[in-house]
Amino acid sequence: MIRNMVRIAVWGVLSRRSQIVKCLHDLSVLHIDQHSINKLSNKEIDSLRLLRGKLLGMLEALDWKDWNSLEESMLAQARKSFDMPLEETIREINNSLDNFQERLSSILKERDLLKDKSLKLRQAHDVTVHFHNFIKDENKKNRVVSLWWIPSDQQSRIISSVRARLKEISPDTRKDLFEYHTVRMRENENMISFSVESTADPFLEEEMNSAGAVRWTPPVAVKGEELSKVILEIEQELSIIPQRVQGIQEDLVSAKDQWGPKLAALFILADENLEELNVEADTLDREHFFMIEGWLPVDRLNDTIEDLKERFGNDVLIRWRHPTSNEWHSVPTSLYNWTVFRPFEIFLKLMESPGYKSSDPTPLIAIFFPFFSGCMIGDIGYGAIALLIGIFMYRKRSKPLVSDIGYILMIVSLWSFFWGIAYGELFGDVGYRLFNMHPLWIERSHAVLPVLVFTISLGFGHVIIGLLLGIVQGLQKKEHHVWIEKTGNLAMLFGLTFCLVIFKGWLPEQLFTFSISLLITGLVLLMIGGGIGGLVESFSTIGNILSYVRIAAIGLSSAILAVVASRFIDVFGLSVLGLFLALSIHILNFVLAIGGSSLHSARLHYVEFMGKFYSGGGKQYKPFSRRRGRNWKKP
Amino acid sequence: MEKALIALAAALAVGLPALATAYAQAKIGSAGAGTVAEKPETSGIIIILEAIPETMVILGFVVAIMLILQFA
Repeated sequence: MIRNMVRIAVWGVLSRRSQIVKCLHDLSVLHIDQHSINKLSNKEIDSLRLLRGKLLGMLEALDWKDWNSLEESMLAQARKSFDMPLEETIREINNSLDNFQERLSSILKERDLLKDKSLKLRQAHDVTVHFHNFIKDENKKNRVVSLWWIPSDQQSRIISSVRARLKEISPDTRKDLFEYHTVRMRENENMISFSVESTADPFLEEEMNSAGAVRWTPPVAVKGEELSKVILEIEQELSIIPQRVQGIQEDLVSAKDQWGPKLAALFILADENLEELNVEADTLDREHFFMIEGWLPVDRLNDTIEDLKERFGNDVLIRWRHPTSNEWHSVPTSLYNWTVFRPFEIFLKLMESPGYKSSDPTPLIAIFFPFFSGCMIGDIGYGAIALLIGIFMYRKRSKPLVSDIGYILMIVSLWSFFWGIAYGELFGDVGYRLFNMHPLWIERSHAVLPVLVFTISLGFGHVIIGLLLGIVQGLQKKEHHVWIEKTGNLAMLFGLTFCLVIFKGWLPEQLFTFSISLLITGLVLLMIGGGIGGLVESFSTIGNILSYVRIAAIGLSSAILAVVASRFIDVFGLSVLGLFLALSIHILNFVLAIGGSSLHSARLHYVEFMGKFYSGGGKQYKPFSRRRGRNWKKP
Repeated sequence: MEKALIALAAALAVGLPALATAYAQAKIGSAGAGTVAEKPETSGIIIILEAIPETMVILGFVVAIMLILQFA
């Protein structure tokens, strides 16, 4: 159900504006159009916005996320900080935050430096381990070893130029001028190690520098620059770093526990104050008065007026009116359904909000969605497991989305029981094997046609309800082409059905003229309401009805898969392998049954049913309310 | 032989629309994933679009069942 709304204007004395805005914030019922709020700017708003950003940044740096477990006492404590004049409050909070921010930054910087150092040491370790044997062998020959970064594509050219250079200074060709060893480090980058006589080392360095190579130096200082000792030094350094990082992590955890809740409480209050300041700045001001306008659900009107009058007496004047039909597009939509239907409102969250004065399909979704899903699952055993999962999820009250899904799963499981009894299925044919359980209606894996006919009938009924809602909505909104087209569609559908039923001999032939005239009337109305498009729409309606066959199709596949699972016991006997395979197929079938039935049932609602009347385009009702409420939302 | 041909016809009635559905859903899915990444509020419409081609295979299934029940 979509709640009726009223446009309310609160006039107040300018000197009490702040108190009245706070009171409206507490009441959490007024939807204020926020078209200009984010553009507002004054000194207080800007400094509060900065403070809010700073607090959020620090919370993210601390990785604090326990918003739902934030205690009220922490908020009460933080609220005291905001009792002072706002400018003074912001200054005080900023001062205390600066000290903590400095400490936090130094800790985080040290941690990042250590991580960086660890990465460099690991890279150096890889290099030294790779060249270790080469360096060791060459050192034994009293030759000098050096390592160089070179571009991969320049390797051959560099080796040739080094060879040529060393030949120039040592014409004795009997001796090895140099030895080298290379390894590919990164894309386009190699590392090369040269071993030369100590007298040739300066010439090698000169040649390598002129070729654009960069000498590799170990990240740790080693006496005498013996590369073979570098590995030990690096390993020693690497063993110390994790302890230091752990120490820093412990400091961060203790800072997070100590400061996280305080910062979060301050953030919430800063955010609330910012919202209030924004609303205050956006009011329509006269010399001594101001005015706030917004939308309010009719059922909250009297309470709101009484509360405001009780607190502010003659300092406020309240005027209200119902929206005109021209304003319907701008009125926010607030859904209000019975408690048993409310969790099903999540289906509309995936769509645009319904427009004001349109139909809320939630109660119908609450009736048909579990019915269809249950019909597809149709197994007592799977229903029992789904019920247990549903109860577990439903108890997670701190997570409303999970709780709502749990509730829906519970209802689906109840319908699965019902259909399981109708089809005589308990984990496929296990019920029949163990308890000689027989179907109350039919065995769907054998009698396919009755289930197909039943599902098409279901589709017919469901689509008819959608078309009726479309007609009502068209009449309400005075959209003549809509209701004429839907009526034509309905007449054609009934005309065709009557023709089919008479053809089958279930109705007397005298009604044939009536059904043909119904068809012609429908055709005319369709052409008037929707033209050629309307005619196409009527064909798609027939396709929509046939689409409900999926309920039988998915149910059939689920039933057969469950029977196949049990057959593994027949083939392998009551062995570990047989039980394992049967259990695996049942788990797979259960997941497919729950996932597939939900998805297809949702699709039947979104496409086949809601496509007949739902237009969306509404604005969601978002009352001016405190962040910390029953519906707590993380920033 | 006749039964084999009926079974083949039924298999084709389901199989060919299934291939067509898979192709259409792959195209819609990849485009939809990109859309949802940029505009998460379109997820509802994308689910609907993703589900639309399934009707083909459902109708194919009906034809297959009819073939089997009528002729087999």
